[in-house]
Amino acid sequence: MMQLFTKLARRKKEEIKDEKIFLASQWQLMWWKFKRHKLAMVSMCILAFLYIIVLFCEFIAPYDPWERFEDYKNAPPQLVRFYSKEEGFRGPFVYGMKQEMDMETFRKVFVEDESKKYAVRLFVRGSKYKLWGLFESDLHLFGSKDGPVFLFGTDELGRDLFSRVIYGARISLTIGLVGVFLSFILGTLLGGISGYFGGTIDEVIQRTIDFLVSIPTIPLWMALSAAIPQDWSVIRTYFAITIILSLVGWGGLARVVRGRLLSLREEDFILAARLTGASEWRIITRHMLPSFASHLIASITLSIPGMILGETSLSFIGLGLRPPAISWGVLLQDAQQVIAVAHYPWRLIPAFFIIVTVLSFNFLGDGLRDAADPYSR
Amino acid sequence: MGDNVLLEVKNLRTYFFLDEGVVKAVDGVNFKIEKGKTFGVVGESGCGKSITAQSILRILPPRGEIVEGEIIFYRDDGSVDLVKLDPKGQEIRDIRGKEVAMVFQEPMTALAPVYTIGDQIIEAILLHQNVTKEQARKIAIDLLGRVGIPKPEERVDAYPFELSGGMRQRAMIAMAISSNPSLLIADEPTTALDVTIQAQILDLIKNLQKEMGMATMLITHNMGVIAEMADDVAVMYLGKIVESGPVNEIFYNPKHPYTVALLKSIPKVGKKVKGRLESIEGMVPDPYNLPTGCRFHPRCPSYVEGTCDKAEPPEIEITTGHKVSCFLYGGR
Amino acid sequence: MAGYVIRRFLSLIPLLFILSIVVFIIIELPPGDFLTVYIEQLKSSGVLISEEEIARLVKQYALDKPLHIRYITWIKNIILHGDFGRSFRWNRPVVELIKERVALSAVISLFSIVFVWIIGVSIGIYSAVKQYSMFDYIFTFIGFIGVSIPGFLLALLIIWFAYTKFDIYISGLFSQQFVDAPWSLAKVLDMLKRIWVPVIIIAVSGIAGNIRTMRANLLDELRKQYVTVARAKGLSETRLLIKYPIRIAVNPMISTIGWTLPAIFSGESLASIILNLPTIGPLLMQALLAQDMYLAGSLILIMGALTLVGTLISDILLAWADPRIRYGNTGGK
Repeated sequence: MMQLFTKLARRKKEEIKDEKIFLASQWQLMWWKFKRHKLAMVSMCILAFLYIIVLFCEFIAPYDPWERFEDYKNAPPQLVRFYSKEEGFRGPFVYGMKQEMDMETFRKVFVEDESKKYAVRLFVRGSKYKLWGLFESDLHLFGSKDGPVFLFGTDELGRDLFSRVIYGARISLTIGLVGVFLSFILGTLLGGISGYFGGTIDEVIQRTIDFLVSIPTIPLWMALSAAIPQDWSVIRTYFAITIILSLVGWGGLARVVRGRLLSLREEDFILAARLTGASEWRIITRHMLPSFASHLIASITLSIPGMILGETSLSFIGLGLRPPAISWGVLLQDAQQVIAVAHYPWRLIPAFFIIVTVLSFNFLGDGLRDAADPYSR
Repeated sequence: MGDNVLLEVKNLRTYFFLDEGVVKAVDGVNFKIEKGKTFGVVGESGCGKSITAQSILRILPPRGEIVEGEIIFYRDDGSVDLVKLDPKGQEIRDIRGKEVAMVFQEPMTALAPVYTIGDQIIEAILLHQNVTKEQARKIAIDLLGRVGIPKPEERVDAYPFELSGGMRQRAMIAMAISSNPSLLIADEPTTALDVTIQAQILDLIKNLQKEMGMATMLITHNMGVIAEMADDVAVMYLGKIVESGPVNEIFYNPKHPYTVALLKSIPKVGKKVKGRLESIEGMVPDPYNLPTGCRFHPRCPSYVEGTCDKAEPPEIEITTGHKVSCFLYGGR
Repeated sequence: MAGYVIRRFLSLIPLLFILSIVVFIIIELPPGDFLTVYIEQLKSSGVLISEEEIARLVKQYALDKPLHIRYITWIKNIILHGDFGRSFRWNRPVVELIKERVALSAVISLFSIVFVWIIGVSIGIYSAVKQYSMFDYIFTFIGFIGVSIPGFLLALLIIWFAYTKFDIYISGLFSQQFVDAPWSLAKVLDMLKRIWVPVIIIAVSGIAGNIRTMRANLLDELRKQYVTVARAKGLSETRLLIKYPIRIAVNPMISTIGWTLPAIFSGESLASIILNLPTIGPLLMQALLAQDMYLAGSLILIMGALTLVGTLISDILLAWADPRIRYGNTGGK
């Protein structure tokens, strides 16, 4: 009864939109519903921003991520300031750094040197790079001509952590997408075959899926990636890892596909299509796929974080990508020693990026899942 | 008449306070149910019939509240105003299931799937009667037999999903009558069932009522069911009773335009239908934004401008017991 | 019920078979055979190995035979003799190396599951019953974050926090004096004092997931008509909640034990590596890094078999709790 009232009320409220609603395609309805999920919208923006960084990381990173600043090993992050005692408010700048001896611990530490001010500017010329391997340039989003700027500090070899996090995003964020793409192809193909044909094929594929989803993934990933030869190039390792991640991970997606297909198979419109003499291929692609694509997109989004975490964990314990490759997991290797982290806490910055990314994907997937059923409630 | 009244509802108002606004689901309803009689409540979906019933038992869904009115339940040893009781308290719980029992619309979901029907009936018996578990089980088997379930001593251990819809509804009825209630509220008891089974269930309720001498409040949207079962009828529209009276008066001498429209919309057996079945113009209005004046006026064929949309029509007694709220019969 | 249990047991067989094949592939994956590696290792450490010894090992593991014979020999050794092969790195039978670690892993995982389940379900119930309360909002949010922080990062953050703020260095499962001590009551007590750090770390994401599922399940059930029916019967609110919606909403949670198991084992191996626990995880990593494949393969085989059996147990529990499954009725709620 209550539901009826709310439904009625909602219908009234949307009466102005009624005309639109009746004409709207399923995708439009989903978009309207998705827009109501605020967290999912915010997450989508965050992810869009991160992937733009991935596209232009050479430009956004101020330095080459392998460049060593011998004088600035383990330097802390610098704060971009707009105010100085002498000048009051001014353009952005950072103070220079000098090394001092901490009299209590007898360790060398960096302190801000207020006598040196490095102005931070946009579009500064710096190290040369080739964007997407095509366009040669030396233009960077920001930087300083006066001295080095380390927004996230440096590592023990004096490499700029900010640049490394930006480059790390390229591998960490794409490995999830590529991995999910491969799982998706495997999952859709095998899940589709399984759900559509049924019988013995179904049984065999089902047992395999049962197996894959009931086995702890991390140890399996560990074992498979340990077999990647140490001397392989970064690119080869990257693809090997992606393939390993998706080989183990397609089971969940295949299960979703099969479940939806099985229920669809019983629908009247499929029967109708078959009676009109449509080919099997046409039935699958024209009638079945569109009606569960939305659910699929939601499931895909929700399985990306698992892949990203897979790469990160593997690289973190040293079984995934290895330096000189840069991924967030590789960067976190520097944070394995607690004592080092206690002294140089900025080494944990990549962890923050991992958490934000995973959180965003989870929220986005949640919103998509709600939106996938535009007619519900 | 006075001594025979079992339940009297006076000026009951039950509102829902939702994010979207306040829904006046029941808005000033008065009626009396007499001992041993069947009181029918009829109306379209969403008119507040079920909420009225739930108000009596104080089992309103969250955010529903009785804001005004009295529900007086008469017993041999005095009367009690159900509105004044704590909805979670011991007193109302002793009335629920024991003195006032309820049968619901969906026999598919009304029984919990993980317990046998026997379990669920025995639970009700143990709650209100001072018997041992073994005795309760015997009573449950006996009840199942009385409501027409074959092989009750086996079925008592069946899970709800092992029974058909009709059988489940019989089990529900067995549960409801387990403690000899003086009032049985049946909320659309047959709506979810096949037509042939509908008749069986209605017959069952009728017979049990005669046997046990209990009163029944029968809620339905089906005029046919009312015609077959009810002694007195109340017609509800958007939270108000627009017309009430003895069943024959309502059927042969309907006064309110809404009642008239409702009666016209039933197909009649043996009568040649010319053209389409008549239906009531328009939609049930937005519950957050009820029409001013008479709530039926936007759909009413006899609508008088300047009157019906300005004031609420008063209740007028046309003949003994037959009351109608419409300006056509005075009160202008 | 008996029929269901038997059917479910039989379905375990093909799964174990696939598992053994996968593990065997993993063992065979690295280039070169172990014996060569083994001999190399022995030589580099200055130990000489006799020809007979080599011949004996070759025969025992059928190293000179084709692939399928090697597989059969390997699986036969495991099933008939409980012989999981030999760790070339430690030069000891695998069984000896892993016995205690498997037990400790199982204990930690078991603790984690109990923790995940009890905490997750109770908070989920509270959240659903008090929907839209402050408590509900807080835990929904924490739940989301908990799902998104991987165990190994959480471990890292907790260790860092404990070290910088409290000057405690969290590592290992035992205090210094008990590390190599034989088992005693004192050692168990010492372990119980330290075990909760890894247990919490492993449990967090599971708890978050369980809160969300339990809350959603219970909210669904609370709307069902049988709840109103039970209320109309005159049941008290608490008894009603426990007997009907909670009881029914808990059912699907039983099956989540099955699929949280792999996640728990995964989390356990990672967290153990970071926390330096004497469990399977670190041993597996060392074995993999050293390409000590019989050891690595056995560990994965055992972990896999444990999760498969765990899933089986949770399925049987579910059938016991839910008559609809017991009677093979899947449709119609």
